[in-house]
Amino acid sequence: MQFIDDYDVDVAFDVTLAGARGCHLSANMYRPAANDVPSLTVLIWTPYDNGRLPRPDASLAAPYWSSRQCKRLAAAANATVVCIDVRGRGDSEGSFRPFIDEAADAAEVVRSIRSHPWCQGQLVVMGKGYGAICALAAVQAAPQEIASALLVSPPGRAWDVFPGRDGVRRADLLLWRHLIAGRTPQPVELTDWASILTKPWCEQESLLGRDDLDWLGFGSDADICEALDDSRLPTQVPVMLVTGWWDPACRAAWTMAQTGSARLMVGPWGASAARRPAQNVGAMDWGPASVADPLELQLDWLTSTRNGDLGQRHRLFVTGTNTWLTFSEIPEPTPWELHLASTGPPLTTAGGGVLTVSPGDGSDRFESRLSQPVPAQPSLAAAVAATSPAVLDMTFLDGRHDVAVYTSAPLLEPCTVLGEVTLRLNAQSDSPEPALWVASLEDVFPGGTRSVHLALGVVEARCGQPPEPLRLGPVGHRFLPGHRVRLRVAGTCAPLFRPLDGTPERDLREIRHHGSLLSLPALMTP
Amino acid sequence: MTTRKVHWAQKIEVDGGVLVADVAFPAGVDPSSGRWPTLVARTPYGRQTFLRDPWIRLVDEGYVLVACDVRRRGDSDGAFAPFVEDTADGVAVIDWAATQSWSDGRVGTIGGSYDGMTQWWAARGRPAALRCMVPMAVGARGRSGTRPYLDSGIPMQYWMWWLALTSGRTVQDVFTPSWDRHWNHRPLQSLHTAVGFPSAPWRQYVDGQIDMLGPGWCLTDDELHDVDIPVLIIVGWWDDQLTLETWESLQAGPHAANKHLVVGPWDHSGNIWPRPVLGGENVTAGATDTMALVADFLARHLKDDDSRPSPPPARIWRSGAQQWEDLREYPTHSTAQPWYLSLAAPDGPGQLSTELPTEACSDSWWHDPSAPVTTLTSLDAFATSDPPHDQRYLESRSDVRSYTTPPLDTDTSISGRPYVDLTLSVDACDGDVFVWITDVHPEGQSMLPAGIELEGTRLSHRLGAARVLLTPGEIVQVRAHCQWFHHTFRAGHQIRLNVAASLAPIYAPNSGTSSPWHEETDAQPYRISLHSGLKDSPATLYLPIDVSTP
Repeated sequence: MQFIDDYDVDVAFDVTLAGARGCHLSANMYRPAANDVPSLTVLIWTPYDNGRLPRPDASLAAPYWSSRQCKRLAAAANATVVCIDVRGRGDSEGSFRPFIDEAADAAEVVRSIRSHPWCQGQLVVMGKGYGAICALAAVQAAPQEIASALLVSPPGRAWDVFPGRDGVRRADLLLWRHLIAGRTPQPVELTDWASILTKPWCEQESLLGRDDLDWLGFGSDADICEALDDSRLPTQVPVMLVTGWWDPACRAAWTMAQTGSARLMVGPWGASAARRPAQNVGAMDWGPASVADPLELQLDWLTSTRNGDLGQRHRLFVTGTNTWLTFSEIPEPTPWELHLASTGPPLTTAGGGVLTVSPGDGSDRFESRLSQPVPAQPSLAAAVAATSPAVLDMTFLDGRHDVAVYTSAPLLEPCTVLGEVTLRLNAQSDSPEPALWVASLEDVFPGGTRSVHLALGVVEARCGQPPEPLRLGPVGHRFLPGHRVRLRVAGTCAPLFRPLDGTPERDLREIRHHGSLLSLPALMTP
Repeated sequence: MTTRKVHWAQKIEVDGGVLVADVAFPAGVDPSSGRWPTLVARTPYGRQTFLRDPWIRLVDEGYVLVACDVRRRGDSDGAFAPFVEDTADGVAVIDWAATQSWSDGRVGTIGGSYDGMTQWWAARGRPAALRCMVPMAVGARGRSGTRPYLDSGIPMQYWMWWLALTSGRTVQDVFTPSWDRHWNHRPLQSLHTAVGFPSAPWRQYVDGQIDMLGPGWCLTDDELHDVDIPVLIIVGWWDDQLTLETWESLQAGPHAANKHLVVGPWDHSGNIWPRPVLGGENVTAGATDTMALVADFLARHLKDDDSRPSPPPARIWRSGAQQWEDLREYPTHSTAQPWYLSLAAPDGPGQLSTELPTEACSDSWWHDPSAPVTTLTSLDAFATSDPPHDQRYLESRSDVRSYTTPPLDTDTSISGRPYVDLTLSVDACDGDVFVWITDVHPEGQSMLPAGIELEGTRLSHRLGAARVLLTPGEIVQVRAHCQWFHHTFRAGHQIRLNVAASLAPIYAPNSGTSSPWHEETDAQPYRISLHSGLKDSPATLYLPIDVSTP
């Protein structure tokens, strides 16, 4: 209920727009009542039902696609806002095939929207997550029609986020597949996800109680990979990319920012907080400056678009000092290389694993068990919660004997790292099947009281072969004096990643120090 | 919420399409390990609305729940016809549920409002597996004619809100439009485009093709009498009062003995999610766990659990006295007591007296269709808008006429539906009249003991279905009905009858012209007169005085 209508916006719900091949797509439209033809139109896409009733406890951070946010934006920006249900979702006709039809539909919508009397002037596309895929597709299909784009958490190419990371499928995407299986978001709170996601791939869909997802085939579908393969940013369309350091889409946005004429904004956020701002992320308080109001971001971008002030200007939040830095170009880092070594078995944080500046020549062994996987969070259920990561402090893993832990000496000088982290592992498993290697980069507080997760990498190594270098993605962090750098290496990460069915219950892992190297992007080496 | 097994998106073949349902099992059970009595809910509001409390709480009593989207809503195929029965679909879904490997073949139906109506439609088809039903907050009995809303001829603007809510295939955010800005939009036939729902089937309503309790919706008395299974009807006093006409019809049928009625201090959503304060009135004393009543009822009829208490024929909240009463019948036995309307002076306040007035007089006022009597029922959140029960904000208007008794010497209880015989004239071709009763407290509050969608009377339909316009100044006699009650006016309180010619925004105001209501664009104010004290037709309120109480 509302006291009064504060917005004075005209709406038109369930307006039919043309999609590809004659498919009728449903759009909700908003424009200021006092302005018959606003000079700017914003297009937004969603698979999450554009007319859904808001939750009564909804905060300021309403999703882009929500009617409340669209209405606010229309009123504040004096713009027409058009929010479109993607094909087969919400009120749109057709069948929903994740990723497949979005490019063709977006191109058709851009072509047809011009004939609508509410939609004149500049055209700006916006989207979050899946919606960013549609907005990007529109930019690629009709760059000459689009004045600018604002993309939040764009998933990037195949194997950046969908259907997993670097060739390793993400098991928890089953939750997303279920969520978007019908026309409207499906309930996720009735299902024991932790139980299902730790079962073999071939059993998961049945255990969920569905038979309509083709879950086993998800990811091996060439159409999906092809649809996601093009994440180029046309150079003539200014784009703003918004993501968070713990957002799975961060690496994709980082890469896109370096290849196109984009602005990049990276905050101390996960996927959830990148879309719905929060000051406390992962049980860490990142300070009031860390919060960005989505409406302000939208308005600032539209103002820049109207003013033609769309040059590159990156805003990156540096954790550790909790400050924003602004760059016209992402700075070229200096590699800060730390070698893996040990003075004894590196198991548990009390073990002998170290990160040093000198290469070692020993090796470490540990056993990985599929039935007792290393949890991504203190509880498996927390790992698939909507606000993941629930905690960033990884000390809950400190006592495990199936995780190799390598920790540097306390730093004498601060060091800021800004850019992509990579890990080369000279390692192998005795499994006859491909083996997963999972690595976590952390900042250990003095005394080891906290070990804050900064970045995650995963890769699947073929039988008997060392893994390809792990890409842990970008970080923006300042290690303070007295803090230490920590790397954890494991063979499982439940329930996020899971090896192929048929993998043995146990396998023995060996990490050889020679050739195992953690490379950090330092702004200045300590 | 406790996790559980759910069979998602099950496909149910029906004539000409496929309906989609989710099937939820009690927490901790393996669906292949047994058979359970089965609950069926069919809804246009998204089947997922049943996969949460309080409904899921019933599942954990040992039932399998089949929550199904009706045609072309959510994931189901076909075409959605709002307000039109889908008996065949209802029977098909119940038959499907009863023959699944996890069902023991006994089916009950649950749900409220439209989801209660889908139960009545299914019951009309007499599916063999259907053992009982719990329709909440909805009436199923129609009227004989084909005019808008209850055959009164008065168009209901509220339906624009509902048709907006259910436009497209999914539930729409009806909080978004600027409803207030558009209430005075004319002509009303294009209200849907003005308010922002061009695809809503408002024109079908305007053209008389669809209507709640219209021909496509209602069950006849014979059909209601054929419902031989146990039924638990639940409704609130500030809710759909037509439910009580359905109850009245069932009580006249051959299977009255297995019908049960619960009427509580609730609004439309309150019988599922009761509130302690409603319309500014503290109804805490009426707090009750309706879902526990439902669970007991279902257990008796789907699990043969005779250890669970059987509901009385009628459990009724007596407003005024603020107490629950278990009754053998509702309404209780009553006699019609006449109270005569008059004015204390030519321009004085209206009064109600048991004595016939000695002189005739007329109470005249202006009705302005562009500034109608408007309640604080907010249409951006109709079902939960909770307008104030204290009616003084309406009674302070010059176009709401109030007739009040002296303070009562003793407690006075009524049960049933009062009505008023009125003699009226208008200096226009048509007019509406709404009447409602309040309980005036010694401190001055004028509290509404029941009712929200008050039923009006359109003068041009005073003779029946055919529209017979009035000659300006013509005096006509009509009978207008007040709310349903089970109420006690305490000693010292007063009984007040309010009379008005409009009740917006729920109802579109009468233009007083010969134009069809949906085409009118320039209605002018006109004068209405209520004539009292006439010898052969004194304006009279008839109160159903409860004579069953000591």
